[in-house]
Amino acid sequence: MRPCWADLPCDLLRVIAEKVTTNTQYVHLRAVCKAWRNALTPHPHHLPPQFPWLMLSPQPGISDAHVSFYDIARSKTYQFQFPYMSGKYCCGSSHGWLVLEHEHRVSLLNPITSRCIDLPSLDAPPTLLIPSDYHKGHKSCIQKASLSCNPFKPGCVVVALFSSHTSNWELVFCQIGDSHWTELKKWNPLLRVENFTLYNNLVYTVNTEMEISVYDLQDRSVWTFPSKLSSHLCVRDKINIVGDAGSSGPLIVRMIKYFSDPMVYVYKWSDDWQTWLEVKDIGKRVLFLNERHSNSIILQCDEKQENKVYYDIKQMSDPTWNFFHVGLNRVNLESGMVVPLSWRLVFPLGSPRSGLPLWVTPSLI
Amino acid sequence: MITLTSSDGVQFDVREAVAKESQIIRDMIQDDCVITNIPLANVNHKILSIVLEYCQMHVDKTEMEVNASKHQTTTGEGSSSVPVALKVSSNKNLNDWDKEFINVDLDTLYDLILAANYLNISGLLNLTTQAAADIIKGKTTEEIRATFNIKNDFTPEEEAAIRKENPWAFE
Repeated sequence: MRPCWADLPCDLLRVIAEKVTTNTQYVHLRAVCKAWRNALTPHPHHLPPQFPWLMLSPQPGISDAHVSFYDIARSKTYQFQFPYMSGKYCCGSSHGWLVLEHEHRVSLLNPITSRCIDLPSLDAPPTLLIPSDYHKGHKSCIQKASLSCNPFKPGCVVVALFSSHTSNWELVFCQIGDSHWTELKKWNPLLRVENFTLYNNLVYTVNTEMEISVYDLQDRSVWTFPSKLSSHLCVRDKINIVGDAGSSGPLIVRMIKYFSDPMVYVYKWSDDWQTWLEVKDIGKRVLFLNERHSNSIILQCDEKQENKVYYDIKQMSDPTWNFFHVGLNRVNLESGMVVPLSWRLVFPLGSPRSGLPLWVTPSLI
Repeated sequence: MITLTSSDGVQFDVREAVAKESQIIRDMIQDDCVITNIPLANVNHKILSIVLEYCQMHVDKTEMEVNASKHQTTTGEGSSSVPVALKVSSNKNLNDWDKEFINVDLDTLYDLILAANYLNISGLLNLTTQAAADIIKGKTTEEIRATFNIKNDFTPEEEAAIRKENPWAFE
């Protein structure tokens, strides 16, 4: 009798499924037949980080919660509907989850699985994070938020950076299940943190003077790199900081925008020289930068993609100013060559999709 | 020598080292050192001969490496990089051999997965399940069903609900 693959024992099917490396492939595998669907979990933990999608979040205040995603790997655009996101500000994206804020309430949403998790309110005692005279109707209080890992993995920490005008506080953190946020004491009380990244339970921050400090979430210690980045931050510059595997420090990425194409510079800490040096080669890795939202991702990739930086550009190029365009560029770090990807999304101005672009690494957990 | 008897009664005489590639046989021999005949109720002779071909090749290669490195240490010649280079090239050969070996039809692959699991041969289980995953790679649900000859047992409503869960994957 011929063997029937639908009858393959569950544990053996799982061994095969664990060798599948993409979300799409896994979803297709689970849809084959009832036996396979029952044998395979909808939330697999084995999948590696996926190639990110560029998300255009809805504009808060508009009830219609359409969200568009552009998938570079498959060159496809998807339209999602999230009633849950309606009216909320998206202030961060990491490990497949969005951080949403609405009237001082903070929550997490996985746009792929639609699972949500509530985080402590910004008003929860004992810390009053937002001054009582601060008007609730104002835009989001959090400038950027980031997760240490997927919230369904143990020990997930969420770190948030407040916008300068909303709070006297700067960096706060909480664990899933905490009743309130906890402050990270400032290393330099005189200077504001410009951007941060969360990596290996360390919070790397860069301030307006280009000093790079490291907060250890475990023992609450803080220290600063002995020398700062030797370039001044201009108004037009965007400074990104990205956690880097197998390195003694993060990557600092500076985008300088003059007229059309931004210039991208990447700096790495050198133990030998005790200073930040510019690098032209990030190996088999790709950086995904975000001009306005400073949510950046670094990903190990195959040869086809190595040493590249993707970034989004948002411009009002329509002469009638009725539309705006979101484009995506790719720059080769070594040559500095910019390749505009053929993709251009054009939206009517004020449409619900006209939120800030964000990178999202789609995750099934 | 050890005699392995397949489910359909065919006997295979193999060296103990070859039989011990299987964890389950290794455990049996350890528990009872005078054992010489092992009946394998779940593997027929066609599949058992393929499994033994795999075990034979992997034992031979390992022994060749051990001999080469012994020769190296006794003669004391050359630098330590020689056995490493030898090992790399022999690993490459073995990988090529594995690739060729696993190029079988899907019915055989299915039986090999079950046999590798039953006999607990981790290398073979890894090789066969990876081969199945490679066949699945890049295929849609319909293509996987067609390739593996699996009947779609969902109702149209159930199928629509599944697609609605992750519509992006089916675009």
